[in-house]
Amino acid sequence: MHLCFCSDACNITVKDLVGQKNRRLALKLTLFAVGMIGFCIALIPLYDVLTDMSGINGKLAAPGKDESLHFTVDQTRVINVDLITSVGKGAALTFAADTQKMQIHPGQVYDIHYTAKNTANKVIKVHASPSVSPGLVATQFKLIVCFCFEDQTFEAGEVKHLSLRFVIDPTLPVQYKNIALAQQFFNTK
Amino acid sequence: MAAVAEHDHDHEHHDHGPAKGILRWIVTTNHKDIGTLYLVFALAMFFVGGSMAMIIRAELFEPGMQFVEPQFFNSMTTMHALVMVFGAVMPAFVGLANWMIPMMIGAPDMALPRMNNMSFWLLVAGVLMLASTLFMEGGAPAGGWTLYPPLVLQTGAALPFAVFSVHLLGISSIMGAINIVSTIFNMRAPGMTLMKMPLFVWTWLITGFLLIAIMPVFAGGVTMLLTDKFFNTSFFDAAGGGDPVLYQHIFWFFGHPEVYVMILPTFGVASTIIPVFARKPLFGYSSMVYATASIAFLSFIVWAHHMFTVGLPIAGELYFMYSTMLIAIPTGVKVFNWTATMWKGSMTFETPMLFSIAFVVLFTMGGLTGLMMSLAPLDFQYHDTYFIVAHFHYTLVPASVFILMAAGYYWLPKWTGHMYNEKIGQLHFWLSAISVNILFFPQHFLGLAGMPRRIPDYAVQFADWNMISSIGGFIFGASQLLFLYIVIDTIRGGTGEKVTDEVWEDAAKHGLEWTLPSPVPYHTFATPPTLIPTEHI
Repeated sequence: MHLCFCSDACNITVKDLVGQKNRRLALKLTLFAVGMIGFCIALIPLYDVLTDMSGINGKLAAPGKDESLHFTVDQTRVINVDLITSVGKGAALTFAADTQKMQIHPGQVYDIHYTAKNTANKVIKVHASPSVSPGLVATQFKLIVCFCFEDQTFEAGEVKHLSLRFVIDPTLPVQYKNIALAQQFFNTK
Repeated sequence: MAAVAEHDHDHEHHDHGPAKGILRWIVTTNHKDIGTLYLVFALAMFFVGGSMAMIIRAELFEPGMQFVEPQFFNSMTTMHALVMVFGAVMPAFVGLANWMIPMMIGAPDMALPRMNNMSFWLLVAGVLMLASTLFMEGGAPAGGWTLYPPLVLQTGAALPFAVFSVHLLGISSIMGAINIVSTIFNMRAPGMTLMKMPLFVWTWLITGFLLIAIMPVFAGGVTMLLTDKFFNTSFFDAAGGGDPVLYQHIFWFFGHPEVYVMILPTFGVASTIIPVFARKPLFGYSSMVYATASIAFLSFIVWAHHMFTVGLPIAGELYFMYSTMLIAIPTGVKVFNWTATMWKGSMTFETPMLFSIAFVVLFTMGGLTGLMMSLAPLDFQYHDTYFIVAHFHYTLVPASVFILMAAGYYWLPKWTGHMYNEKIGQLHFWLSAISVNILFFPQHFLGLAGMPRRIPDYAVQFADWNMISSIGGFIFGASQLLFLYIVIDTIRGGTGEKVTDEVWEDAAKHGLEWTLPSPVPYHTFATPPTLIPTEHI
C-alpha cells in the first residue's frame, strides 16, 4: 500500500498483496463468525450449569449423596404449597395430585401422592419434569424421593399411584409464603 | 483528516463505465452500483414496512375491531419490525457504507467485490422469503419480532421459512460486515491512519465487528427453535427439560448489540454532517471514537435488561441495571460533542442539517426514556407497554431513519450530480419532524397508563391518545412520499442547478469524497490519493 507511485507492473504486485491480505482477513473474520455459532451452542450447557449452581431457574434435582436432609421443624411458620400437574403434547395420560393444596411447616418431611392413567391402547414410556415457583426457592425445596427421578412405563390402560417426598429447608427466607410445585409428564425421547 | 494533493490517472482500467442493460445490476461488483442497489432496496422496504405500520395505526385509530383480524394484526406488528430492521434500516446503512467508505478512505472499491454482490442478493432472497410467509397457511409469524418460544412455535407453515430467512439475512449481514472490516483495515490510502478516518468509517468498523459477533448467535438460536418444532428437541421446551427463558437470553445477547448496529452508523453520519453545516471541525473526534467503542462493548454485557420481569435473581437485576445505566455516559459524550460542534458555529440549515439537528434532540429524548427503563423496579411498570414502543421508536425513527434521510439529502448531489429541490426537502423535514412527535409522543402516555403493546383492541380510556397517534402516523407516512418524489426527481435532474465538486461550502475539508467530481465517476481512486496531513477536521 505504501508503494503507490511506482510503475504499473509494480502496481499489480501491490494489488495482489492487498488481495492476499483481504482474503486472509476475510478468512479470520469468517472463523470468528463460526466461533460465535459455537459460542451459541455452548450457551445451552453453560446456562444449565450456571442456573444449577445458583439454583435460579426453578429446576429441581435429586439430592446429592452426602446432602443432609434433617432439619429442625419450624412449627411457627406455615407455607401454602400448590401441587400443579400437566401433561405435555402427545403424552397419552391423565395425571393429577391426590391433594392439590397443602399447608406445611419448614423442616418437616411430607409424602404426597399422584395418580396417573395411560389413556392409550399401548405401552407408553414417559418422564415427569418438576419445577418450582418462585424459581428462587429451588435451592431450599428438597425433593427426597420422586417418581420424576426416573422414566415411568405404563401398560395399556394402566393406572399408577406415584409418590413424592419432600422437605423445605427452614433457611427459606420468610417472605416466601406460597410455593407452587409443578410436575409435567412428557413422552420419553 | 487530510487533503488530496494530486490525482493520478488510472492506467490499468480500460473499462471506464458500467456495463449496459439490466444485467449490469445483477452481476455488478462495483461498490457504487451495489451501494445503489442496497439503498433502493432499503427504500422500497421502508415503504413496505411503512404500509404495515399504516395498517397497525388504522386498526388502532379507534377501540374495537375495525379492519383486520387479530391474527393478521399480530402478523403486521411482527413483520413491520422484521422488515424495517432487516430490510430497511440495516441494508440502508450497508448501502451507505458501500457507497461512501471506499470514497472516504481513498480506496478503488470494496475489499471483496464479488462477495459484495453475493451479500446483496442473499439479502433480497432472505427478505423475499420472509415476505412470502404473508401468503402461507397460518399466516406470517405473529409472535413478535423477538420470536419467543413457546408462542412462536404455534406459527403455521411460516416458521421454517422465517427461520431460513433469518439464516439468509444473517449470512448476508456477516458477509457485508466482513467486507467492510476488510476494506477499512486493508484498503486505506497511504496516510489515512485509523485516527484520521471519518467517524462514519469508524462507526462502521465497530458495527462490522458487532455484526460478525452477533448474527451467528441469532442464527443458532432460531435453528434451535426449528429443531424444537420439527426434530423433537427440547432446547426451549420445559416439558423436555429445556427452558424458554434461555431463548430470551440468546435472543437478547444478539438483540441488544443488534439495536446498536442500527444506531452506531447513525452516529457516524451525524458526526459527518453536523461539522459541515456548523463550519467547524467535529468537537472531540477521539472521544467520539472511544465512546463508540465503549457503547459497542457495553452492548454485550447488558442484554438481560430486556428481561427484568422474567424472574431474575436480585443480584442479576442490580447488575444489569447498573451496567445499562453506564451506557448513558458514552452516549452523553456523543450528544455533548455534537452540541459543542454546533456551538458558535456559522450554522446554516439545509435539509441534511435540519434532519441532523432533529436527530440530536429527538434521539436524546429516546435515550432518556431508555435510562428510565434501565431502572429495574420501574421497568416492571413499563415492560411490554406502549412506553417501550415509544422509546425504541424515538431511537429508531427520528434517529436512524432521520439520519438516513439526512444522508440521502447530503450525498445525493454527489452521487447524481444534481441538486435536490431544497423547498420540498424542507417541507419534507418539517412535516416529518412534527408528525413523528404527534405519532410517538402520546405513546409514552398510553404506556404509562398501562396500554400493552401488540394488541389490536384496547380499553376505551386509551382511545384519545391512540387517535392522535394514528393521525400523526398517517401524516408521517404520507410525508415520506415527498422523499420518494425528491429522490426520483433528483436522479432525473433535480433543480437543474449544476453542483460543484464540493456541493456544500468547504465540504472538501471534511471528507475525501468531496474532492471527487460530481457526479462521481464509475471508478474512483484507482490510484490512491496522496494525503497531505492537515489538522483534524
